[in-house]
Amino acid sequence: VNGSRLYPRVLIAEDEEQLQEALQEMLESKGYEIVGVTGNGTTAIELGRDLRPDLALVDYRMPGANGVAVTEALKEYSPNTQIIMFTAYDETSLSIEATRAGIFAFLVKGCAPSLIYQALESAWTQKQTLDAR
Amino acid sequence: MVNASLETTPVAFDRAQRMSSTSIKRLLLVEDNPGDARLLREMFKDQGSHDTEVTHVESMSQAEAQLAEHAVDIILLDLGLPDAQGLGAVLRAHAAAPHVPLVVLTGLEDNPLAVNALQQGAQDYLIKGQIEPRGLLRALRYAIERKILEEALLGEKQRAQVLLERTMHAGEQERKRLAAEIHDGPVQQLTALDIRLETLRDRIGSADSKTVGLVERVQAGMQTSIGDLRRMMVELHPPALRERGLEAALGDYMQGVQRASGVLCQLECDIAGRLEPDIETTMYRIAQEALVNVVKHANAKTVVVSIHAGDHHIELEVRDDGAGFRFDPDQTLPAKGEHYGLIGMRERAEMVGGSLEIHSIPFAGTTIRATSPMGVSP
Repeated sequence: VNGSRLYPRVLIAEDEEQLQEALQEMLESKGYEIVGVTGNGTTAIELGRDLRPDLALVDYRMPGANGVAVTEALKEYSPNTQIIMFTAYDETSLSIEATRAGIFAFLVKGCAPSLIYQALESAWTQKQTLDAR
Repeated sequence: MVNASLETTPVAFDRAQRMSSTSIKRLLLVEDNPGDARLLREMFKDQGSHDTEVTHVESMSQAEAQLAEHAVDIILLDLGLPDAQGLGAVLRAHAAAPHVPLVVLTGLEDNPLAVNALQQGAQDYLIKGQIEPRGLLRALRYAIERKILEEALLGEKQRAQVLLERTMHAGEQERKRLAAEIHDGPVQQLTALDIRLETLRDRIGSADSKTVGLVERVQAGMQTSIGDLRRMMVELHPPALRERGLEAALGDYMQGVQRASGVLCQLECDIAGRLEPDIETTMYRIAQEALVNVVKHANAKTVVVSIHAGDHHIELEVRDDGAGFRFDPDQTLPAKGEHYGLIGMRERAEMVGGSLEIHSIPFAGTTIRATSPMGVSP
């Protein structure tokens, strides 16, 4: 099924509304299908379980559950879903914790937005490779 | 331990003045020698101080029983009692009535003991055989006055300590609040705008390279600002300290120090799990201040920070191999103007019931060691 789709299905978990919208706009303009948007970690876990997105762009600090907890849950429900953490916390200890939880990439807010797109593209390739196995 | 009084200074000093003009109403004489006791009673009579009620007991246990039941204005204590001698007698009397002025009676050859007695809470000493009637009453009045001033001073010190603790706590809370505000506000908003500019730039397309270049410059400026805000946020209150604890937060901080300064930073920690938040914050701030000093003043190659858990305490050590400084361990702090924030570090350690030690030798490095009670988070 995945092989026939050109663009990935993406879940956005980000509690700042303007940023939610901006990310959605940017990714839709690239052709991505945004299957779910939420600002709450617990909802993100539920959406991940129900929608099984290809990719998830996840903030760290959110009400309900933080990005690491969301990553752990999504990886359990849908191991091939690739998760990119997008956070304002530029801390090595967080990137290590998130990596252990199973993220594909760790991006710090304030990075060039093109990096978000590049990371998602790589993650999409990874997802397709895993699905093809 | 004196209770922290909420009385203000002027009132306490006013009371001191009022007391100096009043007579001594109730005196407890603790003296096992009947001859000495009689002599002292005679002296009171000679001075016409008929309103002074003298209660005479002959042992420390009697004195303790008396003090437990009755209030007195002053204690006159012999240091050679059958059940208490020397400093032991002073300590017991002081423990039985910590707020009552105490004057001790010593022998001629007991000068060092007299000085020790003063350090342990006595207000004055009288040398047996050298007491003259006129001076006796005056000495007792001065002792009362001195005690009142001492208590007022102690009260002030305790109030200052409470105020310092509140100020530091409020400062830390304010830092946390500001960090959260920077995170939730400008960082997110600027990031959203930057991403929108990215979308806009894509829509403009490569045909209009001038406009695209302009947008890119705006974006670069915004990204620099976001980076600055992010650093400010971590400096105010590192999120790792709240989320992952002392070891993680210090590790992050030291990595930054090493990158910026070139000083090799090592962290050793044998604590598993989390400590009480106040203790984590205190230890983090002390280490941070010490590391700033190492980078600024020590010209060190290496700095090792170790966090060690003892049976009942936590120990933080910051040890560098740098220039060191002249430091007299007998003094509490280095010379004025060279304290390098050591006062602040010590105050922080004391705030959580701990202490701070500094060891430094010129050209042989500096070690700062802070200890605090265990306080492991449940």
